[in-house]
Amino acid sequence: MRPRRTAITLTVLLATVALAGCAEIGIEENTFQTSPLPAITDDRTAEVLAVADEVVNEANAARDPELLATVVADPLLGIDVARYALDATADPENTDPLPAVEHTDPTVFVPRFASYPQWFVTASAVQPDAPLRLEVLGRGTASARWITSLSTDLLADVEFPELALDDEGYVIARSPSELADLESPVEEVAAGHAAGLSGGEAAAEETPSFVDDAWTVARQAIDAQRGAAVADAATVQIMYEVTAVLPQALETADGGTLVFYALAEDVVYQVQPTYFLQLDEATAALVGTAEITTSLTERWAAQLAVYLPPQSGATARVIGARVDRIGLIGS
Amino acid sequence: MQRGLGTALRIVLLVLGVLVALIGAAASVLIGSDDTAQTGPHDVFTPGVAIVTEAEALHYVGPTLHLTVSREDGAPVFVGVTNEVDATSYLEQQSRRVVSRVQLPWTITANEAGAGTDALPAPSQQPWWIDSVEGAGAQELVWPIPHGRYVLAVLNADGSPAVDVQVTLGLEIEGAFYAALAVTAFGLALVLVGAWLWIRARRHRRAAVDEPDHFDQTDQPDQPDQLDPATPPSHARHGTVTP
Repeated sequence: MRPRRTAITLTVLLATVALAGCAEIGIEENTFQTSPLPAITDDRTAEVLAVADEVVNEANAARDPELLATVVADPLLGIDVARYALDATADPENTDPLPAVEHTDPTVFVPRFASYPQWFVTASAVQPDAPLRLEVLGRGTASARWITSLSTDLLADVEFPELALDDEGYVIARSPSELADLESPVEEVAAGHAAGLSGGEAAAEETPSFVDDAWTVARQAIDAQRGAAVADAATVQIMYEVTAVLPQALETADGGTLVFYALAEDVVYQVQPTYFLQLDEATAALVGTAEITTSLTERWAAQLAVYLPPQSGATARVIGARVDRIGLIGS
Repeated sequence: MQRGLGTALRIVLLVLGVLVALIGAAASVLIGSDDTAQTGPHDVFTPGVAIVTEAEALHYVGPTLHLTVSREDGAPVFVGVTNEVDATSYLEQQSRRVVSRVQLPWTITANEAGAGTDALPAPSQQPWWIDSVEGAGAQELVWPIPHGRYVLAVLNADGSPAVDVQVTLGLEIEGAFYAALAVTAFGLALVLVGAWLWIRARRHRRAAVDEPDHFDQTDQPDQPDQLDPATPPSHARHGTVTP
């Protein structure tokens, strides 16, 4: 009996050693678990912004809308192209070119995504002594170029909302379904904002209010000045409309949302009989005449970054804005 | 009955030992001292723009993948690995060969997917490859396979359609060579144990045949009919008696 037991013991021992050796190999089944990936890395961001700067500066120097379109999309593209057209009229020789932009020391707000399109937000200085520029960049596919679709200047003395972060420290993008489920959809908020700026009826109670928003109040003051400037010579009509609402939005730490949209403002001066408007030299160059006897329409574009509070009816605030004149028609 | 079981055990040990030893030896030769099991080169072709693996094709993690690819015409080739989300977006609806399963030594399950044959943007210009190699001649991608959903992709370096390549697949498994040697040794040990038991049993049988010449009558039980049926046969007990 003893030799058989010895043999069995030896066999078990050898088997154990062999199995232990195989176990050391360390092969295991793939769990296939994967997390959403950040839209971009910090290193890549600097590279992307540098490439964009190079193209934008080249496009600006040549006033080349097609080149600009390789790195810029609407609503920003439409605004910049309109500016090119105005500048070409006012300064055909481009003696006063647009200042070069260079993104330096960007702060990047990067969400994570499980699919495309992907996007991120960056805040950085682009020109000396200029406010920080808050921009939205996105791309539709993995091989597409990063495109800037909206560009605003962060407003001084306006608190930037604390953004919500996920468990890995990335900002959290609001999904399209989340945006659709908001008590006040962004389109509705933007329309209410435009209506308020146009001097229309107050927005519904459930939509965020801009009554106490610093930028909105300042803009209304500027618009009020327009009437004062022409006095009895013309009536002034101000009309704002929503031209774009970006699908990109970020969740804030308090449950609110940082959204981006663009408004267009038409300022229409109707010249009264026996009066005419005398334009300054630069404006006259754009309109083609120095004296306006019938009407003058100025078109402005406002790109806005807006914090929407989680509570219905609470005060929203514009945290970034950029306003450009994009059209001027007079007769 | 006991003798029958013992014989069966010895046969099983011998046969099993030979099989295990052969498998271990074959694995040792296949793997080699570099711990890498390799197969290829194999011809793979697609009229589309890429040859890619499904994420599920990388079923096991732990080994380091060695994927060596060269184009038949010697032109530059690109080999890369990336997250499934990026690869899916990059390829969009372009025609490609999708490998869903690889069985070694070399049986692949693959199908053509997609429709477009426009050239893709050059793969090397994409920043999201986790690892990649590119160039003329044989290009080897070395990548330790982690958990997750990843896609291996082989493309013409310029992203053009018609990818005609030779592929050599290697799996480097740390300690695999020594494990194969251990399996061989284990098989040989089984053979030795089986042989030893066999020889020993033959000796016992021979001793049992010789038993009447040496048998001491005083050792015989007085009442043979009272023997416990479970008591081993007399020749087995005899082995414990000092001659």
